[in-house]
Amino acid sequence: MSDLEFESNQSDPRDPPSAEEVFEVLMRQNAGHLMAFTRAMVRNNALAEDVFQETFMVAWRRFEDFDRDRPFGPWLRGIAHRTALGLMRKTRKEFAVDTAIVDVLESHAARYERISMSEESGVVEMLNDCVSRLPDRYREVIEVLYRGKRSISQVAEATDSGPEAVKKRLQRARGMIADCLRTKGLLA
Amino acid sequence: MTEASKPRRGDAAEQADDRFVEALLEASKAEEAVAAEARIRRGMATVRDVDPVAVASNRRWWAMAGGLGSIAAVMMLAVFFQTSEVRADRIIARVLAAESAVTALRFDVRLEGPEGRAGPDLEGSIDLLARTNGHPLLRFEVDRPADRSHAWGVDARGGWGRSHSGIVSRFARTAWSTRIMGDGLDLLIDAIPGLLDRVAEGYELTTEVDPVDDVTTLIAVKRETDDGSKSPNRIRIEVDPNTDEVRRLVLEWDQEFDPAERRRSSSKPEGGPHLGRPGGNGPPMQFDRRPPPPPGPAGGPGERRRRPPPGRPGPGRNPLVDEVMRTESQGPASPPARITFERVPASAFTSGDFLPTATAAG
Repeated sequence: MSDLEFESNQSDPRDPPSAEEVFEVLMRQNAGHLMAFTRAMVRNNALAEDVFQETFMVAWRRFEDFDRDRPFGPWLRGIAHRTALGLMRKTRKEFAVDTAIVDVLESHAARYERISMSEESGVVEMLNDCVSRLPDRYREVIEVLYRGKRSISQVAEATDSGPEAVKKRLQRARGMIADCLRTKGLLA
Repeated sequence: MTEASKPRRGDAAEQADDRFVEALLEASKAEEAVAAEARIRRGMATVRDVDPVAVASNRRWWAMAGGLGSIAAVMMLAVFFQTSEVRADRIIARVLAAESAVTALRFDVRLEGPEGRAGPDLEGSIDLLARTNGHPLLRFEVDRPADRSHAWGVDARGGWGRSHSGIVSRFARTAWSTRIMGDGLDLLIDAIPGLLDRVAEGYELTTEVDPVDDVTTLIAVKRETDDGSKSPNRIRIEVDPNTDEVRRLVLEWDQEFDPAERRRSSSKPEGGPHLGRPGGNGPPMQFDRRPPPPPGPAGGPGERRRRPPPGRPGPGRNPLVDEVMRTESQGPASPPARITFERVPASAFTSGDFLPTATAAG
């Protein structure tokens, strides 16, 4: 069953949704993994927002061409990938993501998509569970940085360590979270 | 979960894992739910042909931003029409979209005087209230240092000024065309199209993103021109990563010219759009870029300008106006070295907050 069939089943057949309505529902369904994929590609929130909005526009312009027998998510992520490359070229910024990384990100995003389609809060619960399993010193830095709205420099100051040490601890924590998410099937 | 249990994976896979987990953690932030909804709404607005980029590139943008709009929108416009920097263009479009919904604004303001100017820096606040059924209301209150406090504003009746001693002057105007003057310093604030067009053509744009707190800063540097313009040489606009609203503005002027040169240059006719005051009475403005009147038999252009046109408050009317007129008659004052606007949460303003007798709303 394609995404479009999934959506059209929710509507009254006597009053079929407009293309715009269908598109909005599809974008809402796919926004989570699209943003995760985009953020992971460009590693900059502001730029990720730009790529997301540009992808939104391009997807709408090409919506008529979209093959409705195919899943929407991979099509959307393909647009996002090309959009990110295009934006980087326009702004003459280096795009330090090689194809191998993007391939793995695509695989992760596809799993995210599948999980979130069956259970909307599934990915969030998995992530929270993995964070809660971290050793204290790693969990604390994740909590403070991502849930406590602190910057790396603030965390470094609060923990009486250098920014580089905090960054290393963060990276290590993310590695442990990745291992945990792999066991749950979110990462390949 | 132990560190030793992790199997060795390829570099690309490890990097991808790290990036993806980082993205998931970003998405788990408390503010993400609101941001996600805003993202969809912005996208759908685009789909429905309410594309912020398209709107913003229309020079009648200020109608979308609710008349006067905001200081933030004004300063954004100063750099908006530069199309060479796609990134900046998009940031501005996002900020404009965010700001267009804002009707009440407050900025803390700090004016640092020109080099060599006696006296302390001035600090105060600016309040703005856009109204659907009338002109925008404005209040610029200088409250530090206390012995030089004074205020300017526009209330429902029109413009007003209040001197340190409490004398209130009333002017018939309801909009400030290019700037508000405070204690001999100019405060660029207004949104007239002429100013925007002229300034927009003269800046080079770059962007900076702070990797730690993700704050994007637009940096506009004035191009080298010989037009005698006194617009800021550099403008920094910090954009809140969560709301896309401007959270800080810094306007900076180079200070390399001396007062004598400034007086000479003020007597030269200048090309480009005029930035003169709109019709109506009001305090004379400094740095008026209209071609000056032809030299008269005595006193030159400055002398000519000293005599106010009919209806305009003239010398001797009260000390505040006298001060203003004296300043103008001596030629344009020095531009400040720097003006910094720090956004603060705006209160629920009412029209009464903009009366000259009111104290600044808290």
